Amino acid sequence: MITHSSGSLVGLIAQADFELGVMPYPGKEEGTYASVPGGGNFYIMKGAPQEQQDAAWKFVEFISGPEYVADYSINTGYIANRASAYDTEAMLAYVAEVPQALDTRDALQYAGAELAIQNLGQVRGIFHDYLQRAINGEMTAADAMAAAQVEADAALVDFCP
Amino acid sequence: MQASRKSFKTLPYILIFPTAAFVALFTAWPVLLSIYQSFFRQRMNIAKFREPAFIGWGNYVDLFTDPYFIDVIKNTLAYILGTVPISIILGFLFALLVNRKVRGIGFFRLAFFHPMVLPMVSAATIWLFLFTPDYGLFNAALRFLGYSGPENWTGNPSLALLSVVIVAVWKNSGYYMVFYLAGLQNLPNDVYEAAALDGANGWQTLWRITFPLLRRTTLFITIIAFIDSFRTVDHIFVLTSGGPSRSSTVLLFELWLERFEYQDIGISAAITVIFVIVLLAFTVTNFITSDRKEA
Repeated sequence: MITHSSGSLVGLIAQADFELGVMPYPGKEEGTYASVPGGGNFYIMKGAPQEQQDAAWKFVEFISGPEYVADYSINTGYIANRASAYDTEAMLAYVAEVPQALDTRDALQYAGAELAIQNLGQVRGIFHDYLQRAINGEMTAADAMAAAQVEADAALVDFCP
Repeated sequence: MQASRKSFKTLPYILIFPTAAFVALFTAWPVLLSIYQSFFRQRMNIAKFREPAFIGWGNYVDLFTDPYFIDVIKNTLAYILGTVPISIILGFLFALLVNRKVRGIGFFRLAFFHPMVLPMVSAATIWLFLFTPDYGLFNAALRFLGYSGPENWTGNPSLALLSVVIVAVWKNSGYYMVFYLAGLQNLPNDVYEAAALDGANGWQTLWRITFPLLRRTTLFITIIAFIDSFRTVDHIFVLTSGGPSRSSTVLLFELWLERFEYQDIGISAAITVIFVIVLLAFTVTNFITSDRKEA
């Protein structure tokens, strides 16, 4: 059993010579589940000339079209980022063969919001440190998270307007 | 006659120009720039701090009032004290061991020296396997010797720094051995003959003759060992990433964090300046003392 990105699903299925199942993380309460989504974003800069912004938007529409998204998901295992991708012919044919691809999508119902903040490098570092303190038994989980919150707040003060 | 004297004067400058240009461009200029930037607040990931603003000693005050940075300095000192003396002593002992005319001694010389030839990252990756809890070779060897303590060396906050020290000592001892070996093979034979005539035992010969005669070698090795211990971080990236809970973060790793993870140009410039001052103070002191001893 491994905890891994859905992005390794295609590679895992190609290499495993046994039946392979996918499930979300176990949740906090008995019988519940959790899921940790992530992903990249497209940005269009406001300072750019209008025709560049229009062209950028055309590209975003093109690259996030259902056919393309389905193709990307089929070839990597990453969850398609729009529901309509799962209605495309290519995807329907693929999930008939690899039903695990639907399990990764269905795990999304247990997902919460992604940690999207300023100064992510430092804040993430702070939480890593205190998680390690808690795991290594240097602090209780509650103390560690309280201390991490204090440090993270301090690291974010400069970002308040 | 006059023309040849003139060309004799300009030639040395032409010859040192390429080196001088590189040193100026890649050493002197960055140092000056860092000193300048260390007095400014500039953080690339905050829009309002992206333009540098003069804050005087602010970055230095921030650093030295941050208990976490004090921990980094303590880690750095512990790392230096852990690596420099031990790897020098081991290098000396290895050199004494392999400075014998025995068949197959070349194999042992190679064995002691080969860690130096490996790139630090691949050496650290091998050590990561050796340190693996339960079935890692390092733990298996320690268990065989009767050790029954914690086995997750790189993941244990009180052992993580020690494990990067072990890798550094293993990596550097063989390198220093080569310098000692070269020194040993250049020692004059007559003093040993005189000592033998006077009835000196092996221990006396070692401490009263060999070691003092190798003083300049020791001095040289101390300098490069000290500088090495400041500038090697490759194995920390591979083995511990400065953790767990920052327990193996040393100065250069912290510098990388501040500059490339936290995008804080002012603080990273201040750390660079501290770095330069420490190394400069050390090398200048050594330079002066070694000059005096020679006279």
